[in-house]
Amino acid sequence: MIHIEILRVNNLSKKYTNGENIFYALKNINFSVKKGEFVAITGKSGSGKSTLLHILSGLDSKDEGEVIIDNQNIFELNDNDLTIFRRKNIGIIYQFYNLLPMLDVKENILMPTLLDKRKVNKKRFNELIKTLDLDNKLDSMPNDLSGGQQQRTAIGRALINRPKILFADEPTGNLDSKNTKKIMKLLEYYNKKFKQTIIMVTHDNALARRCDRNIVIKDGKIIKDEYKKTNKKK
Amino acid sequence: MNIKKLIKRNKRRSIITILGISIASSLILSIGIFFSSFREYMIDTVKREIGDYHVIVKGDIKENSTIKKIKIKDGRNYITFNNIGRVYINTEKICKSKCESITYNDSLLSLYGISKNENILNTYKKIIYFLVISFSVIVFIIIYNSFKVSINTRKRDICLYKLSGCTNYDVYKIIIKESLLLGLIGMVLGFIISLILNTTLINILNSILYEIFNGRLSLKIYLPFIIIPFIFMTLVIVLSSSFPLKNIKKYRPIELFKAKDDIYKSNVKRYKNIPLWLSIINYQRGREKYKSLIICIFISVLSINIFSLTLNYGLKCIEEYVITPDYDLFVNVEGDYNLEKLSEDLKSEKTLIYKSCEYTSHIPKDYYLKESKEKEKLLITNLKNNEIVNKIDLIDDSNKIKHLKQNIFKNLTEIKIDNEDKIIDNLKLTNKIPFGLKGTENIIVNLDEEKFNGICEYYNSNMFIKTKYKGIDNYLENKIKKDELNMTYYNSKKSKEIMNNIVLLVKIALYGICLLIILVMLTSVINITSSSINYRKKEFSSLQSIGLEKKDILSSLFLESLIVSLKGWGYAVPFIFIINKMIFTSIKSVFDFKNMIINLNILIISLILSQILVFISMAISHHNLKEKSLINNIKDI
Repeated sequence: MIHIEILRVNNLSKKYTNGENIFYALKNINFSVKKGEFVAITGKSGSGKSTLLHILSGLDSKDEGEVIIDNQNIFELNDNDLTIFRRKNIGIIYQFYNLLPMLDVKENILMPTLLDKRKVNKKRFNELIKTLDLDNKLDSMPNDLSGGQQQRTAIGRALINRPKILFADEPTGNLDSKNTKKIMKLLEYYNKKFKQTIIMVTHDNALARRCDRNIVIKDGKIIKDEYKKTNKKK
Repeated sequence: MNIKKLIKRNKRRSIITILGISIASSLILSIGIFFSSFREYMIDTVKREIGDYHVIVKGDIKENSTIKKIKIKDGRNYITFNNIGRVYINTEKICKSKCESITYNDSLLSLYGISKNENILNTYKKIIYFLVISFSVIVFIIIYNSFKVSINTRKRDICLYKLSGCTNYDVYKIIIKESLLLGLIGMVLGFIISLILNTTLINILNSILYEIFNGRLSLKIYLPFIIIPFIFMTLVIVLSSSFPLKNIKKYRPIELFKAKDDIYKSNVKRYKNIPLWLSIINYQRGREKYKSLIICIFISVLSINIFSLTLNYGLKCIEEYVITPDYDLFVNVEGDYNLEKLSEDLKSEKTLIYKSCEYTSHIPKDYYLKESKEKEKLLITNLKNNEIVNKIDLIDDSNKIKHLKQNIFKNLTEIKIDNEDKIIDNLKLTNKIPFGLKGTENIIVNLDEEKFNGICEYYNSNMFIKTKYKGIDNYLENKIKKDELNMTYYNSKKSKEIMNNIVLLVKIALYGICLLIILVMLTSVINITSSSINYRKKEFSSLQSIGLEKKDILSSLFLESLIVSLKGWGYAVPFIFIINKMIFTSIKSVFDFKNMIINLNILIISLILSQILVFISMAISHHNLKEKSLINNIKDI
């Protein structure tokens, strides 16, 4: 089976300056991800894992290095082109859901499709809704939903356009154990069935162990990068 | 809570609030400063033209230390006291009932508000009160909205204060202190701006109306005229910042953990055009907040249009009342005089030279098409062959200005001149008014030379000219002195210039006031829109993260601003028409206006202007969100 490289990170660094002091949030990060991989990025609080995810998804800027998604260096794109690239190729799930509060569940999920001016594929939408168990919540507003329902809506929104890569920033960080299991099952389902590439940041080692690969970050550097099945170090 | 830190943290909003208050203060304080300066000019003028004495007393007087100066002239004592306020008491003291006559300088005393007759000072105070109250109301509404939105957007902060243990009273104190500090800085700045504005205005007045003011108008401050606006402005700031505080009682710490309170299922149908759809949803959910913006736009559109209408009606009244001469110079000499030579010397471009005399006559009612006076004043000239000009300007008995009356006579062929037993016959009616004679109230009768000599025993030689000759006044003054002429002249060019300058000044003043009101509105709009955009920064960034392009965001903001501007403008339009109708009805009774003035262009400009200002303000506020990365805005850091 040929594994296509979907993401490559070369010498990525991000620093913050405070007067004369320079603090590196990330320093010389290098790795690549193949299509269909479910990668966990773990590390202690303040290690730089969320910063890494935000840069990979184009939500934050970098100071040095490259991020190449599907052969496109995302930082060569201007603001508008990056927005369009993100819309077509990237899905993002946040810890605090970040649903649009003025739109209902259906509108929230469909928004990326509408923005892309695509016709809504009703079959795909209905399948998605069913998988996410949101059939009878389509007209509800986000603040009427539980945490788990909101996160499932956010997953729906992230997956509606079948993105090349899905970034998840602590997707279960705000959920109870029951909902955590549900969300993880969903992500695993999409990874297995549709070969959805997922990169997930988590501080929960138990969740990381369920992924194909675990990249450990400490003080802005990768200290460990190993695959689940063979425990092979990269 | 350190107020200075609080203000520094919200630097942009604080600066804009200070700007708004300072512009508003400058508008209100300028009224007092201008009237102070004008009053001082009037006092100076009275002192020059009438005298600086307070009272003229004839008879024996007892001098005492209250008297500053006595000038004796023609047996009368012209007395100036040290304290003008005690002029009556001091006059009684020095007279001790032995004065033959006492005459007070009422012109001067009325300027100090002391005259026992009508006091000009009281009139000035009434005008100041009226203007200050009117502007204060406008400014109050605008600043109140600004503070209201500011408090609403700080709901999270207020909940945090309460969570930390602050009572409602503690929160009031924090916010009032902040408002008063911003207000104080704003008012001090406003005072400085008003001094600059008044200095500029006074320099303009001295320059373009030199003939009236002779450069003697200068910046002066009369404290009572400054205190009134200052008190009003302070009241405006205190009230506009404390009224919105009543909402604070409703804020509970639990609301920190709740979703936003403006989320409800909207009835808006999903449009294919995403920016349009988003703009309608956002307008609907932000209706409460947008009320403040709509009110600002309403007031500004109303002010601009009403000021503009007032100006236009004023100009039309001037046009109706002041007949603009079609000549530059009118010269009048008793008897015969060689006016042709004078016309050549003055390089005339157009001349009319004629002889004239005046009589009264009775023209029977039958000859009039409409109403008539009992006796008519005739201006008899030697201009033409026996014509009566069938058009004159009339001021009727009730002193109403009428238009130029056309075709007032029918079948009038002869006029009997009262008391002289003279008849002018074989006359024909004409509608041609000779050059220069437009605006005369007399009936003009043009006769040939022979008939004229038969009627007018004593006459004047007259000349109307149009000329570009400069220094007409000097030339004529010298000629009159040198040749000892019994000549009078009227330089209408100068009067035209003065009238044009007065009109220009009125335009500058009215549009200047409009501009200041727009600036106050602008600061309020910026505060409201930047608060609104900031409140939604998380949503904007979330939308951008899932693929909403910048052009769509701007389109959505444009449509939102259009909805808001249209609403504010739409509410103002009926009020504009009602006030227009009221102005027209009141003026119509004095001037003969046929139609109401409708300033369609100003109406449209005010809509476009408010739309542009609101949109630009929103777009800039959105652009400023770029200072932080998308993710920081999403996390609401």
